[in-house]
Amino acid sequence: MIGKNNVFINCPFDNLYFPLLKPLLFTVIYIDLIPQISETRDSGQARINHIIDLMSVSKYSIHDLSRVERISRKDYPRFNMPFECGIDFGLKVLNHHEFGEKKFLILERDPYRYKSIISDIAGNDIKAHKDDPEEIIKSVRDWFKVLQHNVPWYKTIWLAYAEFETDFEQILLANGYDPKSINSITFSDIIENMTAWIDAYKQKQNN
Amino acid sequence: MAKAKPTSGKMTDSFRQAGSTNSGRVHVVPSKDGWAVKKEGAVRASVVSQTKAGAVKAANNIKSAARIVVHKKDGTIQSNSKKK
Repeated sequence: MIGKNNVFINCPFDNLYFPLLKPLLFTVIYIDLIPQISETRDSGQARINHIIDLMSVSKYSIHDLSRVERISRKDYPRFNMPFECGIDFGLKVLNHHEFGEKKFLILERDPYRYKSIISDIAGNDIKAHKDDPEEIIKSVRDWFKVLQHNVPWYKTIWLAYAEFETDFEQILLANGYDPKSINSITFSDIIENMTAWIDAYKQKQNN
Repeated sequence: MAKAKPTSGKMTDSFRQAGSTNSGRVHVVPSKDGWAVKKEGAVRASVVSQTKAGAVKAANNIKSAARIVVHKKDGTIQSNSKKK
């Protein structure tokens, strides 16, 4: 059954993307939604089945297609993101009765680049984050603002995020983890710790 | 890929504590319209300066500031120092 507050996140899992993944997760949690993200190291179940489970319980999906290209000459382009995006679209189109209310945000690095690499998605909600953490917060926040009320201004979230980053770096270092590495702690730990911080931060502001 | 380690409940408590307290830090944060100066826990920036130097100066002028944290464009910390 679809959870009205669940947001499936489909994005690269590497250290280059980590500075964008954190503000993306932070924004989703800050506006009281629940990120659904696959642990890449969970091999207990075929990964794609787990991903489809997450898509099936999420009203919203954010698909970041900005890395469908070589990062360096040694690398290959990454096709997991468009593959998963296609499955999510398939769920909605082929089972409209159950998944008709699903909504998708496509993130790209540059405006209109998708026209060269995946033009079939034209007509959907597509925003360019320009590899900029502040811009990804604005893109995600602005998209949800159209869909629901009580979404704060993007700058409020960006400034709160900067404050969180200070604590994230200090707390991870104090506990012997590398704050720059996406592999230091699990995604579920990042989400749990981020949620704890945001809840406390908002409560402090309300007092 | 290196295996990520699960964290402890103690670490989550640290995050909860950090989010709830005000340790007198003032943040200097780059943003689209300039360098924002934000007191910890405040909702909005108290000053937006066109230059980083101007923002750091404004941060140092805040009486309640104990530390000045200057951020990079990706939100991470560039410097974290005692107020001058």
